[in-house]
Amino acid sequence: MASVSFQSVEKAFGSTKVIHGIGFDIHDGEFMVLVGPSGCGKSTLLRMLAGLEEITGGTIAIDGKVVNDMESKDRDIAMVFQSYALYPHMTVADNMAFSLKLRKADPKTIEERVARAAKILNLQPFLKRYPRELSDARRDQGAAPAA
Amino acid sequence: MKAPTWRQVSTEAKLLLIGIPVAIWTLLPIYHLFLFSISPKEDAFAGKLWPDHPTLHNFEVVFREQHYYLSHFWLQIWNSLLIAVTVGVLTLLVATGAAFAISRLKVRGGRAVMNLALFTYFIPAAFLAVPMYKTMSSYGLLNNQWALILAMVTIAAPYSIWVLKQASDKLPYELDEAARIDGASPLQLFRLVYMPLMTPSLVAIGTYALLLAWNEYLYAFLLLSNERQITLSVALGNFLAADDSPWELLMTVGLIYALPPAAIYYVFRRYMVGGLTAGAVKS
Repeated sequence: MASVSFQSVEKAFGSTKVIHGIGFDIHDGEFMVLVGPSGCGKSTLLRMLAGLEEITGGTIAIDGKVVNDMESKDRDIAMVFQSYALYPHMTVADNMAFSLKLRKADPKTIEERVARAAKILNLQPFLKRYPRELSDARRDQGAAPAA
Repeated sequence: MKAPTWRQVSTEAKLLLIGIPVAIWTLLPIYHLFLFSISPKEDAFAGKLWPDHPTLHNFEVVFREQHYYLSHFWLQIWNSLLIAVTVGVLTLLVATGAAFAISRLKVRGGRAVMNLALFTYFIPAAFLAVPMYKTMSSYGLLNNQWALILAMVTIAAPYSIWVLKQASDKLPYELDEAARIDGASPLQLFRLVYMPLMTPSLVAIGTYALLLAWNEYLYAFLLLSNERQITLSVALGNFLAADDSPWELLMTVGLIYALPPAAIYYVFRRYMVGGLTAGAVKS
């Protein structure tokens, strides 16, 4: 885990400002819930943290390091999408291993880590299945370790 | 079982009334082709529904290149194949790259390119034949098979880009974002996520471009003239140059020429349907 810090972060889409200078600190190990009416910018906030949206102003820091100009993949974070975002052409195991494969982890490590995550989530029987062969609840379970 | 209602009967009858004439309209020329190809020369115009002495002699003549017009049959069918496959592959390369850049990477000016691509279809390909001929001659490509390949890719690409762009727009964008967080570069995204998911569309477009080139006559006729360079479709046209055209051989070659497209459709038909992305995102 790591601490997360937002400092007067702003976001505008074109001329429409959606986040007007928000600031907060989440400490290491803390559990944080964002609540608000739809369209108030919760997802945008999360997406900015993940690096999927660029920020217009302010700074975002993860573990004390400013990540404003850092690519998503270099931020060492994971995200479970609202809509799973599982790769339909890969099995559950391949979905879970995808990120490690891209990071060129050695196959043994990948296998171990996938097995461990699958055990925690009781996904072992489904590792060889494709996302379309899973129920909705199982897809959610699959999306977490995949992230 | 319940007796069919009037409504069902009349719907069925209407479908049959349209379907049967369309089926006959479509199948009759093919049957005619087949009939000629198994008729001996003297029987070809007898006007019978089935020849008195059906024979495979015509096929033998064709395969052994035993006629003046057929002296390069195998070379010409090879030319057709080579050109069609190259056009298919090149079109796929160009169109997939363009569709990926416009639809997934959202490059600037993508919309303009899409509109321009569609705009090219306001001008019939036949109108472009003369400018294309002039262009190829300036590049010194006349009577070179690359001229035909490039021309066909030019004609096939806009439609292919359009179709692939529409198909890639349907892929959930979350997959791209998930891949970005997972650490995929645009090229890895293209290779590991985009291409596998686009396979059905890619096969469909590859087949489209391949068959477009395989069936092309006008451009092939204009751009190639050496009989060792031309495709079989041009060679077929040359049959008609004679006063006494060997119709039975023309039809035999025509039948042979029509078989690969039929085979390709048959083999790839399961790719023509989508459904691969089922289960990717909540709908």
